Amino acid sequence: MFGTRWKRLLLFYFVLEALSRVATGAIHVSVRVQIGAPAVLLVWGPSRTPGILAQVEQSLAGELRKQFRHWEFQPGGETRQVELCFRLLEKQPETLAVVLEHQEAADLVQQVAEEIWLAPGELAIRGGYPVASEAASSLSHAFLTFIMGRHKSRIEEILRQRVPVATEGQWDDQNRVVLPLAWENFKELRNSLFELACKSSSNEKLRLISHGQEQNGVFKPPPPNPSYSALALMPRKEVLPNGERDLTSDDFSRLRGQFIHLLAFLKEVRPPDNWDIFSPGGAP
Amino acid sequence: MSPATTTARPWLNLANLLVVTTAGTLSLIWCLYFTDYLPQILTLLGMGGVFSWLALMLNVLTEGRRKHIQAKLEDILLDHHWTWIGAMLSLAVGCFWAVEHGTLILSAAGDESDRQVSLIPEREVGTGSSSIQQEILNGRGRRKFLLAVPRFGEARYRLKIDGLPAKWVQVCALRRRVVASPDSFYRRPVVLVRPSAGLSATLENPREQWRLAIKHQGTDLAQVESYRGEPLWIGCDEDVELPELLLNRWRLELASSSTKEQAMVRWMAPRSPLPELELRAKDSIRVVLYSGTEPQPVAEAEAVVRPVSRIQDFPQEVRIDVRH
Repeated sequence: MFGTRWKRLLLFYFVLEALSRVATGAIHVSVRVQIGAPAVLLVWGPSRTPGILAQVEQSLAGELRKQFRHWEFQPGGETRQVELCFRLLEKQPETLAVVLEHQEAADLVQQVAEEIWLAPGELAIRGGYPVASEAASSLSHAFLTFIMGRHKSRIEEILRQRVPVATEGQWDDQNRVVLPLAWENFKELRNSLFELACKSSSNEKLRLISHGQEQNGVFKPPPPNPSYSALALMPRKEVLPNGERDLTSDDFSRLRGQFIHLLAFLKEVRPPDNWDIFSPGGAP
Repeated sequence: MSPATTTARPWLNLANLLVVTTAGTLSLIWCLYFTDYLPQILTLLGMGGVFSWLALMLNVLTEGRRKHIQAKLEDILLDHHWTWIGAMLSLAVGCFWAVEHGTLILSAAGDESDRQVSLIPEREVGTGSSSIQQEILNGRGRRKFLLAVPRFGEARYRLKIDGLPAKWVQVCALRRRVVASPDSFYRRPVVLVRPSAGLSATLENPREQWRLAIKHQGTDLAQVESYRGEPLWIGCDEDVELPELLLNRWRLELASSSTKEQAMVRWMAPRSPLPELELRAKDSIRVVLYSGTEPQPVAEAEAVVRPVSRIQDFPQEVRIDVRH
């Protein structure tokens, strides 16, 4: 238990370190596909493999966007801060496995899920290795079926714990933190629970449990961009190594002055208390 | 026999008798030794077969008339010089013909199946010539083939029995060469290239083009285009049956990798891109598999041809697989 907590703290530190360099906006989760099966690479050939991988990454990123719409996903390995790496492995000759790994720093790799795609003996009776012309579709299908289909909640948990939905915030006059998440798109999170990871200019770190607010705030991006209605959070508690502490009004004045870097993690999605009334056949 | 003539020239009668008897006997001995036709010839000489009607007609004749005819024939045969001359000439022509032929004896003592046999002279292989001798060899049977050779010389024939690898046989004039089927056909180096079960299934996919290059002693010998993962015979014909021992080995291999036996279906109809290639022990064979227009090989395998000392060594299997 103690070890797990320290591991989390370490991960948290790395996330903060990496993300402190990000100026504004949400983190894009890189979606990468790696082939750890030399046989498959030989069947595809070196000139066709990059194209196949790009197609699969594109397809998986699209599907992840559909399934986890509070986070941004980007195919390929451009943004290296957070990465979901889908891997195809040949565990033993003619036995293919699909694996999902979550990577935050170069040396911090965590396996999220692993499933056998083609068990021993199945390869020969199920069409062999995927050939180049149909590799993208069959590989995407395998990842969608075996990884995203069977481990959706685990992936969501990883995203909630590791990937912030916003990487900045602004204090408003009600001691709320307004995230750069447009109200129109994120108002369904107005009752959800967040964790704000804050960092001061003197490198002091702080974690705050915050609740979404029924009333939207106004986010003011740097000029010339116009202000817009955005999701606002109310920090309630500070997370300490040995527990939690309720925030007082004194804390807010300290927080507002010192903590400039901020990451907002979605800890728990809670449906709003009063759902919008749906108006059949017309806009509200 | 006419008493007048036999008493007049007894030496001629004796000479004719001796020469005709000797020539006939030698001919029958040759037929017995070199051909399968003796039973038919004896049937004819004994007035059986198609001459049965003649025998019937002779029985219709009275004793006196038959004796009269026999006497006349005896006169014609024994009392003229042309009889012994003719017999000697016939013998000479027969010998002249015999020294240009040798016999191949095929013994199928170890084979239950009836099989078609074809024999092609070396010079006519691949020409589509009509001088191909085709016969049926019965299971557990034995058959003699009289084959043309140079005078007092020898000739090479391509002996092909359905389901067995072709074999080159050397036939000598006035000699018999015995070949046992099927054992002696398996005692020659033949290579069977076979993809692994997984690779074979992959190659079967029609959405990808595969080609296989075969090199012999470092030289490109053949390119198999549109390769679909079948096993390939190198050095024998397509119709060669897969030995049961080999099939059992494949079954064990599939079982050990938990693969269902149905995967073996892909291996049951081998192709033969190089049926005429004669492999020798220590030859090197290299096969390289390519995908589409990719220059990098998907898989490759290499083997040095082993001498075949036992039937169990046939064929030498070369397994091709992707690197895992």
